[in-house]
Amino acid sequence: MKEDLSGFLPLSPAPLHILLSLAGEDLHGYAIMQEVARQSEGRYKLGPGTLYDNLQKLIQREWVQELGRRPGDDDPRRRYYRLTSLGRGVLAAETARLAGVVREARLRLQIAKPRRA
Amino acid sequence: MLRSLYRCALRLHPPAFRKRFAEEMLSIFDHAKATPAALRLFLDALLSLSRQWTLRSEFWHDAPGAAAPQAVSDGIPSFYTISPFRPRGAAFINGLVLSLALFCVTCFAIRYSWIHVLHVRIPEVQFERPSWIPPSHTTSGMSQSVQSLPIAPQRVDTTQTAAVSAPAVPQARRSAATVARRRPVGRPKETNPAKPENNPQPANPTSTAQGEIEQALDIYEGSYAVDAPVKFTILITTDREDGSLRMIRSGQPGLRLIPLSETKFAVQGADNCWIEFMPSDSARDSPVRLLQFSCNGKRYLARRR
Repeated sequence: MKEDLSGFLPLSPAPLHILLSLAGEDLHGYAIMQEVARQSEGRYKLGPGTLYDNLQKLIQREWVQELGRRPGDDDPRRRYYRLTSLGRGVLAAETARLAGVVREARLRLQIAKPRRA
Repeated sequence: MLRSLYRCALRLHPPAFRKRFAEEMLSIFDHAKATPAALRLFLDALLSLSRQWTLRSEFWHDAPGAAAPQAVSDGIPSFYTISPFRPRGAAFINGLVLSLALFCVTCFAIRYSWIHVLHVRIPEVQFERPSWIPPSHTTSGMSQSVQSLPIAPQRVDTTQTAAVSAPAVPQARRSAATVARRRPVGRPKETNPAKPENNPQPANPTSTAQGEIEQALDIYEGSYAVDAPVKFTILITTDREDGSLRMIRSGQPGLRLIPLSETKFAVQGADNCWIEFMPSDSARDSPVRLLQFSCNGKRYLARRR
């Protein structure tokens, strides 16, 4: 039975970018900040306070899972996070919603585009 | 310097957030090499601090689901505390000391307060000597004195080996008899000078005991006058039937006196009232001259007329 995820949408930018950064692989907090900056080409930067505040909510909603520390890491204080299937579903729903928004926007922009005589 | 401030800001976060993310946030701060970046992270920590305490009250404590005990399905009850808070060990010690101090003060107040609200009567266990043992075989002085107490015949139960004393009349008789033994008036022995001192079976112990009681209570009988603050008269008489003292206050019916000690008697039927006789030190067998009547916290000194 497919869960209705429309109640969670739309996502604010910070959760969206965090989910998107975790969609590829498990990352620790600093890596998530770097990945968000890379995805947005430096236009959107998360501070640690904002990052962990959102991670706290995402963990509570079980969209993200905390994996703990990894022995081989160069900094033992780092903890890794993983996107859960529920979080992946929410991210997919938000992406589809955004795709519809983009499609609609493009359609509207083409209609509003002035025709050349 | 800035790192210390950053750590302080992290320590001021709610406990659950601090335990979960403070180390990681400090790790990220350590990645910042330049001062502007560190300053920006510090401002971010301050912003996070205000956000966590104002907007994230649901995350102030650990998630309840993690700490809640699992439901027991086999019917065994489980007990757990609602809050994980536990007082410090020093608080336990302080509470123990205060409780002991309060207990001691309460006991001291009960013992020495002249307002005897509570007359706690602790029943005493009395062992009676079997009839086949002569009194000369008893080695303990205390048991001998107990055995030789004259007790009114209607209350004597020779088959009972151990009995809890009844509070009112028998106690009054025993106490009065104790007074008689401790203060031999002399008349009974003078009337029977040939009788041995330690005769185990007197010829008529009941009449002898009754006579001793009456003789002992004679020193209390009389009329006592209270002059201040209110003038009234207290008449102390002896009830010949049961050998107890009675107090008659002017214009009121007589009340039986229950002995609490040799000189102190509680007034039966009147709560918080008692009489204390004050024998003169010079002649112990002479009639009592003074008594103190206390009732409901008021004290009256009465002199024999």
